[in-house]
Amino acid sequence: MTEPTAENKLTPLNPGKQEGQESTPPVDPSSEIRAQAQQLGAETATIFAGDVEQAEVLAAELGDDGDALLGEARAVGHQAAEDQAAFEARVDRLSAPYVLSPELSKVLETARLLGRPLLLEGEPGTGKTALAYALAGEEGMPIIHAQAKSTSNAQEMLYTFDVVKRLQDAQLGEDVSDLDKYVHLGPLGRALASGEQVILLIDEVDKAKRDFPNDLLHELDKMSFFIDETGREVAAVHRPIVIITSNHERDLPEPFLRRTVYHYINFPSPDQMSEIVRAHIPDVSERLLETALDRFYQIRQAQGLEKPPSTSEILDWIQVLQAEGVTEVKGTPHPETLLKYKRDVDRIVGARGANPEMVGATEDVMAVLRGDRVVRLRAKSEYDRYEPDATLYTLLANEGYEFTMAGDYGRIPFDIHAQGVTRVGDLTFALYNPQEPQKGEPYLYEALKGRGLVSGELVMQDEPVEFATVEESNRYFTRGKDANGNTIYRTKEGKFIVERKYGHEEDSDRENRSQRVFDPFEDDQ
Amino acid sequence: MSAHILNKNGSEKRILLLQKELALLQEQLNERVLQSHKIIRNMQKLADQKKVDSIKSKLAHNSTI
Repeated sequence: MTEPTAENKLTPLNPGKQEGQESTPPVDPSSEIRAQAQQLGAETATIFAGDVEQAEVLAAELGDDGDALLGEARAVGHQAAEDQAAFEARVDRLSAPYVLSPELSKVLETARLLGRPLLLEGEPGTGKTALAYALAGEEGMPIIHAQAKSTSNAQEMLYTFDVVKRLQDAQLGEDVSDLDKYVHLGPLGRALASGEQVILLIDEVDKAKRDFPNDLLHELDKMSFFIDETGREVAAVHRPIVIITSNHERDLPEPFLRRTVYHYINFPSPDQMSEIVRAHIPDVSERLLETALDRFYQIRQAQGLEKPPSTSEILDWIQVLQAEGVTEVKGTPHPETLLKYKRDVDRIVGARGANPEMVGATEDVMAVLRGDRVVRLRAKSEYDRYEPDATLYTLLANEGYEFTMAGDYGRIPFDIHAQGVTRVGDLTFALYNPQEPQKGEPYLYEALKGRGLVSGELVMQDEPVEFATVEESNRYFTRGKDANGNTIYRTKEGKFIVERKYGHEEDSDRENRSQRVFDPFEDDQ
Repeated sequence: MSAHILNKNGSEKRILLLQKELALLQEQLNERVLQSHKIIRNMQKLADQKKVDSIKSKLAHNSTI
């Protein structure tokens, strides 16, 4: 590993390129810097690998005493890898294009003119943090990122004084008269002490305690502070640009709000998002962009998502689709790129993939649309939504199926663990698809029906059913209730999804059913 | 008024900023390497000390016999 030298300095890329010149294929100006960083990382990793190897040999000689030191040696290597990853993330952020709306541009200008912090609020993924980095990249200004936490306090934003280290040094007989070497400046302290103008990003200020923003007011106003231990005053030569973000998890104190320039960033409209996508992925095709955005906003509108997808997810999604040569979005391919929770994925695409564009429909209905055999199992009593009829447990146990018994008032749902069987609601299961019975459990379907354990089956039919009430209607389906209060759907193709109810059968009927030999492949023959 | 795109083109200013970031990374990694070498040196010292102690104890044992 070499010390940084003049030889290692990078030369600017495309130095002669001026605005308005004939456009050439876009060159990522950060690519050379990234390449150098990777080389540096690889070089360092080799050194650490050698050190760890040596540490392992020594640790074996040292026995128990060596284990802690070996752990330390390994940890240093991991920290270096983290430094490298953090650097790459910073380069990404500093290089990312940012579509600055005219309103935000004006607000930013006002904050700079007044020399006041800019407070940005908005839901996650609206580009609050990205703005600070993009501005830093645009202006070539260093950025200091202070991430607020529940434990953050104003003092550590300015500086901390390492009393313990000074005491240790004193015990070792070292000279401790230079107090400055025990002062560690915090993010705000570094921003004020910097010899050049910097951007100070105080991110997610609403995560810190309520007093935290107020405690910063004085220093943010004065742009200076005293280090009590040394008596030194740190005063900004160049007033930093302060950008503070909040996800509005809590209201911020009034005095703090008064001293900032406030702006709420709304989630980008489809037109704005289209511009954002184009700025990041200039070669995106018109059709892909249009259909992907259409689907993206439908998904965002779906009720009950734990984390609706935001800007970074749509960018990733379109990049993946483009890489696969997709020219038009149908359904939701690669849902994992858009949705970060399994429950959300199931909500949007159904537990088994193929999506019939039924955002807002329940999972059981989506399973019917996929052609699955969907049954509701008989409950223990008419008042019980979660607990199945007790004979179900014995049937499954005797037939060798794995299952989870219902418990804790529905918090542990009853579930059947078999290949191709999906729980799509309370006591409701997609058991198999008649098109591919071998991939599911047609035998179980017959066994359950034979024992009278199926209370109803969701089916798709051509015969119309009359709506008594309508609850929801969109371009994919109409949902409502029939005269008996049963939920019914009409799909855009004009088909009806209804629940066919089964009453308790006579024992003789059950007997007959259970003795019938079921051949799941008979339809195919 | 239309939106303005920040960071649209690779500017000289940004490249200089990224170079500074790279220099900082290099500094950080150098620091880590020094830290790692220091740990190895300490381990080496301890291992040497252990060997010396072991020889001393053997010698002490032999002299008592």
